[in-house]
Amino acid sequence: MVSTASHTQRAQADATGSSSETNQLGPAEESSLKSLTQKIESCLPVFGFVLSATGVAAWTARMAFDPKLQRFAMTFPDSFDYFDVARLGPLRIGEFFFGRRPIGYPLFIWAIGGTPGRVITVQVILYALAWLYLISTVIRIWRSKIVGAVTAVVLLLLGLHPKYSVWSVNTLSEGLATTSSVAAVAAWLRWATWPDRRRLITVIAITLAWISLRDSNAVNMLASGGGVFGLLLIGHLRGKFGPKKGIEHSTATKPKELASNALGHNTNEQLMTSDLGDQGDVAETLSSSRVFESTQITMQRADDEATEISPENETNLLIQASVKAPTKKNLFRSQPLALALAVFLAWSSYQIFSQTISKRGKYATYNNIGRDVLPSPELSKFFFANGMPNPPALAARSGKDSWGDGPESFLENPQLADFRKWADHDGRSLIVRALIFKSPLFWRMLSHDWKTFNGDGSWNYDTFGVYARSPKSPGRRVLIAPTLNTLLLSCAGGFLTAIALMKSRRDMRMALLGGLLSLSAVFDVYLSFVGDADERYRHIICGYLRLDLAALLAVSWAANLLVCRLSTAGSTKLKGTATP
Amino acid sequence: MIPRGSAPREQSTPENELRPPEPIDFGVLGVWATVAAGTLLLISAIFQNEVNSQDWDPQYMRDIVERTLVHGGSYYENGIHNKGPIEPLVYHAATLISSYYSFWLAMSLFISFAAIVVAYGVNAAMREVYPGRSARLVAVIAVFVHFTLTGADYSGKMYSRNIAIAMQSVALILILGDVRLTIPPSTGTPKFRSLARWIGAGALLGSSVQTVSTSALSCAVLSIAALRIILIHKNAHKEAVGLVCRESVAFVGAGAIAFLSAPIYYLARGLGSVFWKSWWTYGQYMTSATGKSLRRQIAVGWREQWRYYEQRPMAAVSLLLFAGLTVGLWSRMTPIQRIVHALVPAWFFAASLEIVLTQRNSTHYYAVSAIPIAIGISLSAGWLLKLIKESGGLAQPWLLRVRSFAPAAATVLILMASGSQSFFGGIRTAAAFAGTGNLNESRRTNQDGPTRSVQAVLDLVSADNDYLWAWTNEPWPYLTHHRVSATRFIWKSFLFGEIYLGRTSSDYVLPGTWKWFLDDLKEAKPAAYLEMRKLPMPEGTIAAKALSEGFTEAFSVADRLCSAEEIAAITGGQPTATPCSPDGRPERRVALRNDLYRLLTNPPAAKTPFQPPFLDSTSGWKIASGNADFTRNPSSQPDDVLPLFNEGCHRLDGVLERRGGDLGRFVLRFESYDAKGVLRRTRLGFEGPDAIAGDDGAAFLRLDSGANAHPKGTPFSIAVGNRSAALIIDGKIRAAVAMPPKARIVLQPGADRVTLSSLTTSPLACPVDSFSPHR
Repeated sequence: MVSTASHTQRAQADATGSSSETNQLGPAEESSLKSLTQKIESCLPVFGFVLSATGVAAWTARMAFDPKLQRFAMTFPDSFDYFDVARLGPLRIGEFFFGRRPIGYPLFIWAIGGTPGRVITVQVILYALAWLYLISTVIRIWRSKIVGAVTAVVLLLLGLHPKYSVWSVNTLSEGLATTSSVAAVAAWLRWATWPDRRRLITVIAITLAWISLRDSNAVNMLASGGGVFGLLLIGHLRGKFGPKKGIEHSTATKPKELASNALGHNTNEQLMTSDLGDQGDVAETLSSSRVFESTQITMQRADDEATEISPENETNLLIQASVKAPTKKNLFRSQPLALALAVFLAWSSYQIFSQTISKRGKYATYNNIGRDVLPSPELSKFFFANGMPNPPALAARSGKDSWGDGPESFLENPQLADFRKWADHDGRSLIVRALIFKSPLFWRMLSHDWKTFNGDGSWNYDTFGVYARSPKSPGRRVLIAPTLNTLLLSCAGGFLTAIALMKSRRDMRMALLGGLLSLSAVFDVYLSFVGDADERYRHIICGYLRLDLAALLAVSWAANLLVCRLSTAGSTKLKGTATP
Repeated sequence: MIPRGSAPREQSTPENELRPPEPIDFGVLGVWATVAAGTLLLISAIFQNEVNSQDWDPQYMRDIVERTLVHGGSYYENGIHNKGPIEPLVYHAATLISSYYSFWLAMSLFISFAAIVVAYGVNAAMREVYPGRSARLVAVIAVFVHFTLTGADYSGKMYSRNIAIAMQSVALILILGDVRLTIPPSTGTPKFRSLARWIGAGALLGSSVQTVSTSALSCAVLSIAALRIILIHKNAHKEAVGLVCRESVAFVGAGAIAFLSAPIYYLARGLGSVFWKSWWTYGQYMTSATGKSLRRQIAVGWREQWRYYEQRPMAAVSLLLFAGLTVGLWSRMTPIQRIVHALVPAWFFAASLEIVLTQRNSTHYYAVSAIPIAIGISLSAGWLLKLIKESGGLAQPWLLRVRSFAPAAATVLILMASGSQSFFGGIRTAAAFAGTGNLNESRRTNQDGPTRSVQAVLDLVSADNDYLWAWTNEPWPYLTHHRVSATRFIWKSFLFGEIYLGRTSSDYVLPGTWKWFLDDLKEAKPAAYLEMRKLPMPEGTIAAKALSEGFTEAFSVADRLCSAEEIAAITGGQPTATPCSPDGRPERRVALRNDLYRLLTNPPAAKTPFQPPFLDSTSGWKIASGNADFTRNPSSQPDDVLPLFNEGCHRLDGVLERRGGDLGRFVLRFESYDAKGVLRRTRLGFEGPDAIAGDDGAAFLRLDSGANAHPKGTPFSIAVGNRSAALIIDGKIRAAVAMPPKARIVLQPGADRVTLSSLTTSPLACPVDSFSPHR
């Protein structure tokens, strides 16, 4: 609010026609501008809070309550199958937990215990909350407000995009899988920033849900999570993550030294070049995130709870931090993480085991052979050379799926009985080998088909007019335009830039997490693509979303670090020139 | 109630960005859930009441406002309206923020706003006994739901009484001193704010009385409460005696000025007589036409109210509980609390008496007594909570943690108790909403055949917002057909002194009515007259004379076809699609102004032999000197049509030749592609004895074509306007249909052999879109 005094000044300036004076802000105007900025800043959280609540409510109303949807929510064959499994209930352990569907979605349907319309309503709410969780995470974690805000807007547009939102309006596992993917990214980001017990539990819960929803997620977890688990285990055994260097292991007891270490100054000479002369200056240098973070980490270790540090008690905290003798700590607190990963791997193993004994995978095997192997000379050669039977009727199955042509199909043709026997046993392991050894070929196929995935293919699954009812956000086409290579390059570029610019352990954790997320997303896309040659668009959508998120967040995080580094450099330079 | 985790940051330094958020705060989550629930309620109310708001009186009010916008002048020159100008003003305001088709959405928004205002009035009263926010928010939600989403007859509507109670509620907020909502604390000096508060309260009560004169009783009760509060203020601040006097004078003066503002304004504009006749004289007719003495009125009113509350026992029980609490707790109440407690029964009694004096006892009038009941319930709840708290209850830590969820949880319970059907109906409408244009299109698609045909006839001779003389006692013919009333007598009941739920007498015809009627008619020059079968034009009246002199019947339609027996009775066994009705009168009748009728039915002297714009060489059509002969041949296209016109505003005259016993048949197709590339097509069919209007999917209306009267061949005219087309035979419109925009017009043969002779074309004057000041 502009004060009366400033009004008077402005009026006087206008009256005298002094344009040069109007360009310069007087002290009163400056203070009023500052108070206005502060008012706006103080209003933003309230605005965001109200907007998030109204937004989620409006989104739910808009998406989940279409009259047609509430009446005919099940339109896909798989939907009926999920509900059939859900109706069995978890008390029929054998059929339910080792049935023909990954357990996550039937369990969700059973827990909701309602009509498809109710299931969709809950899905829509969860979808909105998951995006809200991710957006609020980015706004909290990103140091650069501008980069954080831009990323939040892009994330919002992605969340609103019908390409993704359409799945939460279908009774298919893809809806919850996309939701849990988004929530998992947010949970991991939070845990990487503040690695405490509460956030680890959140991460475990959401990741378990994500694994439970789709076969490919379990395989993905075994592939990507298993590697990390192995590394952690080896590291733990070798003591690589034992007593560590840096601030947490510093024996510094003086605030000055602590601040020096935190800032990355290794010597007193370096410290002297900055204006850290006494304890008062130390408080000032707390503007450096390293000091804050190190203090915070020390505090966290003390009670294993996140503790807020106000500017008033910064110095006290610093003294406390310096007095406390640092204890053993490593980058990821490997023990709980290893425990979590062990849980993930065990659950993934169960997931794969249950699907294996239910023999649901045979459809995917026939689909792959009919759609991918037989039409491709290279793959055919590989498969025949490795023992795949070649009855005369098999050639006619080229380009067909499990069910195509009725009596002539993979599933029913009597001439293919031997082939089916092979496919149900040796065939599966051969397919797994092909996925590894023929991965360049599959990757080329994936790149070729990416244009299809890149488009608005979700439209084919838009039974309830989600595209028509979604807000026509700007850049709707641009958001889903990036090619596979663009996404991969973005991930890699963001990751490398983040590595180059990182200053703290937190940055390191974020970079490693980003790398893992990217890797996992690539696995996801690849496994979804090669896992089943039928309905590839639907199967790949979660991986596609995760890759999209990985690329966006990698680039955004790198930009965030870059902006912070530039602003820190700028302020240091300014300070230097001001010092006599 | 800001989330602690996202509280305003004191410094914008990077380290603050990294501050870990607080553990989950249930208080914040509760507030979040409440905001979300409130949003859902609001969305539902707005979309659900888009339909609910279109009640009888609101549509009438819109008729007045739409006419005012087209015709100009004051509201009282455009309709008979025995209430204050604030009601039409509200409807007028809705036209400023909406299009013609989104009008009711805007009204629905206003209805929600009014409900929020009423709810905050209840909240202000409850605040006097219980300051807890969560509990008061529950009361606000309950009142909002009651006034927007329940089955109460006044729920989701904007009647004059709903406007009056909204004004009374704001006045109550001001009287009770909850001025932060209305007068920001930063505005002016305390003295100014105090005066503004009382001036505002007085003005609102005065306006309420001006809007609904019987609300004077409720407003009197509120005024007494206000003056009592001013006196308490005087006792508390003895040094401020002068100010208190000023406050009293300001309150009473503002009320009087607000009440008199409308008469003074219209008097100053030279419209005093017009205003007075509508507002006061007609209001008196409404009162006296029931013929009941005051004693009888009270007896009937008592009986009706007993019945009403018999069906709503919870309201009665709540009032009894309130009475008990008031008596029991009177001694420990503060003076203001006593005033609020005394206000409730007094207000309830005044409101009930108001309903009695209106003599109609309609259930939607009970909005006026709903407010004191709501205040009574909220005060009772407030006291009970307070007593429980004082006895050490409600202090459990878990309760304190989850109390912020109370409003959200209460929303669910309130919806369950009051019926969630409306709520989900509104949400479903919102989910399926695809724009007002789409809404309008879907409503038009669902119109019945007679309405579509009448619309097509009207569109042939007039444009949207043009005048229509409708002989009706219903408000919707004007709005359905997007026309305004030709005269200020939107309903014909005003012309004959027919009083709603009262007697009919010439004593209740306003002085100068027929002069006004003829003047309006002369000024408006309506293109068409529309009559409903239920209300035939009485013979020997001035209106009947005006009709017979200025208009000629051109189109009549029934809403059902004759049965075989009825056909036999009417035509002597000849097959026909004669429209039927029990008393032999058509369901709807359209007469056109004589000049327009002649223009439409008489071929002009300057006409040219028909020549198609183009014709395929393989076509089965042969055109020679104005004759078109079609013979289906093997080489012709399956869809072998004769192109007529590529644009509207033409007429085609000719004769459909008979072929033996076959009367002949053809179909006129009007087709164009819309912006999405979808083919839009409507049809006019001449199928021997029947004339059909329809589209590709269905026949909207099938009427007698009149071809049976022509043994050799049937002379016909096809009038193609810019929005609709009609098939005219023997001076009557036999079928009419709307055309898609920029339609191509073709003639499709209905048999293997069709002969059209003496075909001539000529231009047809199309109606020009009249100037529409708002849309």
